[in-house]
Amino acid sequence: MMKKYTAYMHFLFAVLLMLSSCAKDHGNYEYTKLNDVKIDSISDFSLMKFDSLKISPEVNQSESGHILSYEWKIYSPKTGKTKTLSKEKNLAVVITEEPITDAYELLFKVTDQTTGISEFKSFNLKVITPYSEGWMVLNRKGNDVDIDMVNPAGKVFSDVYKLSNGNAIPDGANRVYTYYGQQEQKVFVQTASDLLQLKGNDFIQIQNYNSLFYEQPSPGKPELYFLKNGGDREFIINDGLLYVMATNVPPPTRFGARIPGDYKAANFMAVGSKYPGIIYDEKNGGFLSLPANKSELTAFPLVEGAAFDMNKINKTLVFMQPAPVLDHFYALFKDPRNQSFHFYTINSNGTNPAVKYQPMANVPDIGRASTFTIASTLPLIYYAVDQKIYVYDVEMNAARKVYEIPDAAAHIVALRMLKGALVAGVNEGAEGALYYFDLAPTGNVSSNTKKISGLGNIIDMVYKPQ
Amino acid sequence: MSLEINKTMKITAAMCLAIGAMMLSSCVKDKLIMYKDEAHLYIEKVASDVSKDSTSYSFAVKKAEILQDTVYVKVRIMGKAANSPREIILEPSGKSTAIAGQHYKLLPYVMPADSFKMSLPVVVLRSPDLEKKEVFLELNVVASKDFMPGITKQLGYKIKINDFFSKPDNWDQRLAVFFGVFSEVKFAFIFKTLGMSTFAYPEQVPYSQMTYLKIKLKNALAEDEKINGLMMDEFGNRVTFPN
Repeated sequence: MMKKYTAYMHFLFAVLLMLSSCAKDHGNYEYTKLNDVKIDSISDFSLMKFDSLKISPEVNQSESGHILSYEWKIYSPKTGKTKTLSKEKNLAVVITEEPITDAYELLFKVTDQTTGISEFKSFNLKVITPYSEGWMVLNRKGNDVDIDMVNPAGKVFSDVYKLSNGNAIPDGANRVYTYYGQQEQKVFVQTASDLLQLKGNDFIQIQNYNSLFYEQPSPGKPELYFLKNGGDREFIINDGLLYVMATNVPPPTRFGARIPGDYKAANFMAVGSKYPGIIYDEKNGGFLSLPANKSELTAFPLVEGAAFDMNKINKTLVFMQPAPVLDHFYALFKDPRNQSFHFYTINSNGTNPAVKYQPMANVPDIGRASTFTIASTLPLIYYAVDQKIYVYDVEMNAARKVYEIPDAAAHIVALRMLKGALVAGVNEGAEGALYYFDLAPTGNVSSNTKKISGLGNIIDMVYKPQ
Repeated sequence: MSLEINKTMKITAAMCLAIGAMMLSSCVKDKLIMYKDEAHLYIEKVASDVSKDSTSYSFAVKKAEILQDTVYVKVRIMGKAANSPREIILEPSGKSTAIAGQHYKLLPYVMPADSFKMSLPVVVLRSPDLEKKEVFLELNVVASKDFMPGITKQLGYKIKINDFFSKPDNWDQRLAVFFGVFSEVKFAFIFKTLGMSTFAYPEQVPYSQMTYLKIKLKNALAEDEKINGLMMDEFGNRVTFPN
C-alpha cells in the first residue's frame, strides 16, 4: 500500500514538473513604439587634402521632440585607425587626411538620447592630390629636370618633384614609369645612374637605387624598370643585365644579383603567364625567357607552326610594347646590315610564342622615328618623325602619314595612347606641349582636339591613373 | 510488509543523501596547488630553434687567430626561483669523443638568485686534430646539491666540434632549396664568396635575400670556373647551385 503511494507521489511530482514548463507567461510588459530615426543616403566624395567637406544630412524621426546626438567618424583603410571628425549635425571640416590610393570610409552616427539607439550611414571619401591623375611629363626647364603634371582637365602643375622634395631631380632624368604592383601604385624616375621611387600621390621620394637592391649594380646604369601590372615579379635592366625581384614571397623583398649568363638585354621586356620574363639578348640576337621561380635564362623551344625562330632574330630591337591582342607584343627590329625594318608579333602566353613576322615595306622615314606607340584596339603602330605622325598598318604592311604639325620646327618626342585617343608630347623650341588627337575607326587622325602648352622641353611622359 | 517499506525508504533516503552530497561537493572552493617538489633543472628546447638539442661548431668559418670560442647551452628550472645562487652540474656522457681540456672546457655553473633560466657557456677549443676529425660532446644535466635532473628527455645536449666545413644544421630542411646538395667544397666556396656561414632562413634572412645570395653564388661560381675550370667536390661531383 505504502509502496504504491510512494510511486504515485513520484509520478505526480514528475507530471507537475512537466506541466510547469507549459505555464503561460502573463508578464506585465508594456510595448511602446520606439522613435524611428532615418538618415537619407549620403553620396561619396572625392576631395583634395585641405579641401573643406560640408555635409548637411537629412535626418528624420518618427516621434518629435526626441533629443538626438550626432557623430562623424573617418576610418583610414591604410592605418586601420578611426578618428572623430565632428559631433555636430552638419559636418563642416577641413580634410587633413593624407591622400592614399584607397578611399577613406566615413561614418555618420545619429543616437536617440532617450532610447540610446543609434542609426548609421556610411560613405566613401577619396582624398586625392591635384596630381593624383594625369600625364606625368618629364621635362627640362633651363638646367632643371622635373615632372609637370597635366591633369585630366588639362591643368598644368609645374615642377611637382621640386615642390615635394625641395629640389629638381638630381642629375637630370630620362624616363618616368608608373605601374600597379601587387599592393600599390608605383612611380619611378630614372636618371643616368639612379632610379628614384616616388609616392604616387605627391611624388615624395621614398627609395633610391641603392635601397631597391641588396647589392647595387656597379656601374649603376638603369635602363628599364618593368613589371606587368599586378604581376608578382619586377624587373630592372641595368647596363644590359637583368635583375629580378619576386614580390609573392614574404617581405621584405629587394632586387638581388644579376641573372647569370652571357647576354646583353635590350631595354624592353614582355611578360605573360607562360613566359613570365622575356628579354631580347642583343649579344646573341635572340629572345630569352626567365621561367617562373627560376634564376637562369632559357632559350625558346622550336614549335611547329612558328612564324620565326625566337632564338635567331639577329637584329637590333627598336621597340616592343603590348599589342591590342591579349598577351601579344609587337616588336620592331632594325637590321643594321641594310637598315631595313622588320615586324614581329610574339605571344607571351602561347605554346607558339612566334606568331607573326614580316619585313616592313613602305615605311617612310622609319629609321628616323623618335617615338612609337601601338593603337588600343587595331593592329596599328604610330610613329613620329620630326613634326609628322605616321601609322603603320600591320595587315597592309604599309605606313601612311596621318598628321603634320604646321610648325616645321616642332619635334614630336613622345606618342602615347590614352583611352583610344592619341597624345603627342611635342617640343617647340625650348617649350613643350601636349597635342590630343581623336582617331577615326581607320586609325586616321580625325581632329586635333586640344593643345596644352606651358611645359618645359619634354623628355618622356606617361599617363598616371588615380 | 513494513520491512519492505522501510527498505524502499532507506534506499530513497540514501539516494537523496548521495545526490545532495554530490551537489554540495561542487561548491567546495578549489585551493591553488603549489609546487612543493624539489628544484629540478633541464635543457630548454624551443621548437623553432634549430639548435634546441644539439649544435655544430666549426672553427673553419672563423679567423685563424680564433683559438677558442663559446657555445651556449640553455637551461631552465622547474620550481620557484630561489633567493640565493644555486649550483648546476653538467657532465660529459660516456659517448662523448671530445676530450676535456683539449677540445672543450666546462666552467663552474651557477643559477643566479631570482633566475629561472640561463645560458651556460661551454668553451670550445681549436685543437689541431679538429681539421681532420670531428669530435662529439654530449653534456648531461646531473644532480647537484641544489638541483635534481628535470624532464627526462631534456637532460642532454650534443655539441659537434670540428675545424672543417661541416654541414650547417638547417641545410637539409631550409638551405638546400637555395644551395643544393651539401659538400664541404661547396660550403667552403659559399663562405669564401659571401663571408657568411650561418643562414637563419627564414627567421632573419628573408626569402628574397636567400635568392639574392644564391644568384650571387651562381655568378661567382661561373667566374671561378672561367679561371679554374669546373669545381669538383669531395665526392667527385661538380659543384653547382640550383636554378
